[in-house]
Amino acid sequence: MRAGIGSRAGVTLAAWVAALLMFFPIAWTIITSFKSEVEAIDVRALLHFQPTLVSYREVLARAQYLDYALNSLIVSVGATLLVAILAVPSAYSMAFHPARSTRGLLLWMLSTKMLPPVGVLMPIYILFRSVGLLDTRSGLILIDTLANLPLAVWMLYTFFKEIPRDILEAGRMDGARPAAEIRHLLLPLALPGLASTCLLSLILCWNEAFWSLTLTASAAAPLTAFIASFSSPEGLYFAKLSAAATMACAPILVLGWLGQRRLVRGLTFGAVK
Amino acid sequence: MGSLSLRNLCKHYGATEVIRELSLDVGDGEFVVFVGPSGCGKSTLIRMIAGLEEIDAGEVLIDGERMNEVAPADRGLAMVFQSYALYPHMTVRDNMSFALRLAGVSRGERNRKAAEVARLLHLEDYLDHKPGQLSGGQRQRVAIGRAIVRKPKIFLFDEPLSNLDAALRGQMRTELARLREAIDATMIYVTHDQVEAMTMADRIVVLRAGRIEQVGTPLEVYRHPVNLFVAGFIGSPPMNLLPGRIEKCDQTGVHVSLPGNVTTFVAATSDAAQVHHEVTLGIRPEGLRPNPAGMLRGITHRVERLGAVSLLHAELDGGARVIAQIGAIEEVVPRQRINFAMDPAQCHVFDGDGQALVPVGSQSSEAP
Repeated sequence: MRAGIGSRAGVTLAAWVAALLMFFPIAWTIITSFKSEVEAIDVRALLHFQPTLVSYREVLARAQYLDYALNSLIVSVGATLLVAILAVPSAYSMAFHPARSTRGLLLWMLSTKMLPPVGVLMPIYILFRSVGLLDTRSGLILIDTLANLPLAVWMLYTFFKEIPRDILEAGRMDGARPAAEIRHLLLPLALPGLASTCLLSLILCWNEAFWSLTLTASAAAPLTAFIASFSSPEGLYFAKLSAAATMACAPILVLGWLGQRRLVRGLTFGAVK
Repeated sequence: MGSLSLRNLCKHYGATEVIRELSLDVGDGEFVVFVGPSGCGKSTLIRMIAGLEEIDAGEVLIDGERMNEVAPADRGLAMVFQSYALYPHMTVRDNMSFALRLAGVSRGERNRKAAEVARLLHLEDYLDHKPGQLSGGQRQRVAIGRAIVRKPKIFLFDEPLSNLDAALRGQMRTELARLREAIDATMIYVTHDQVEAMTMADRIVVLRAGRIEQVGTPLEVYRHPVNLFVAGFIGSPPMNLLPGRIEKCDQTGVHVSLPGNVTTFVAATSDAAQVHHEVTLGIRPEGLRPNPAGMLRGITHRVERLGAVSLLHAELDGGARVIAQIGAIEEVVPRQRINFAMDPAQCHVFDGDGQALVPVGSQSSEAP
């Protein structure tokens, strides 16, 4: 298979190019964060510069990083838990007790992701204002949950579908009612799928910027708002902006790195049988 | 132990009728095998008994009590699935005691019962293994063990041996028979393998297209098939079927003429049988013997040596192909003229609708 080896090398090369292209902005951000503001906009100092932590020091001095990080943590974990609690039973019923409307319902849920969020900005803003959810963590948890629920239900639905029916029927013969079936059989069997679904939800919540910027001001502002606060109209502070972005990304980057094997399996699940 | 009654069961998927007005009684401690070609509804039927399929019409009674609305676990049944359906994340011990755990039995009691069953099935050394670490035969035994632990009234087996290789299947058949003596329970067994049906059953239920064709002991069904379908389905190699015509009929039986100007007398009759009716004459391979004085003439094709016996394939004058069972080392030259003699006692006659004429002076088996 000479041609096979050649084409495999081609695929590997293409994968590396794609990966480097995607990683380039992140690498650029991290490099810039260790420059001074002058070096950050100096083309000659592209890679030749004196690494400094001055931007980090200034960023930490100007803003309460830990407050923002705590908000991000609470909102992401809270929304992900809520997503899991709602998505598991819905995906269970759709996968194992489908009704005539199940397919349509699944497609409808996905279709809500096709609408640009800005399209519902006004109604949601007004709703949040009337019920007093503006600039609250619970408000952000709610909106993140609603945004990620369709994807989570879809992913779990696919994972559940892969579980042999016989095993659940054997469980039913053994006396497992739905709650016991979910707890003792379904969840242990779908654990990799559940883990990757939760990881993905966590990442999406952590990086969510649109609603964070529009629905929070200070009290509930997460790290995405923290980054945005360093892009000011009065001047370009690339180094500080990069330092803030690096600090905001770092926790989720580490988590993603640790969970990458699960995540890859989760995202390609069902595609390759 | 428990008895099972099925009363006019019906099941359809959309417009397709899978089970039609099916009724059957299974006695306490009986081993009944449902057998039939794929798509005959045998698996659907056992799943309806188990409570895994809804019943569209009719009743399932266990020990006289209506079970239609009772949850599967509360029917006093245990089921062994074709795919074994073991819980892959649990050890053999936990697999076997899962039902007890759900029923709130203490851990010590659960482990004691699992160990007891493991001893019965020679699984003691594997109690801490996960199913993935076991061979096919061991997994099958765990699946059976999981059923035994619950001490059900009735065991349901849905093609339990079909994923095993031939040698292991033979071994498991023997083990199941031994097990049955040890636990003395009512068993319903679904298979498409007639060897399993013949060797294990007290009674065989032959199904076709959601209906019962015949119920009887293995030998009854083999020796007195009530129609052409059963005659062709039970027995391997299948019964030879020859087209014929009734020449004469009276109370003692019928004279049937066969292609090649042969007439034979069969001691079977029916009210509907009349002279000149087209019929089918059936004879098992062991009822057909090469014999120079025999009336059936044809040409030999080939011989299959099975070891203990051999099967001679031949084409009769008139075009019908037959298989005769001959001795293991009997010499037969291919493409030679040959004469066969029929054992009249082993001949069956089926009328134009495929229904068997009733042997004179014998009791027919129970027809639905």
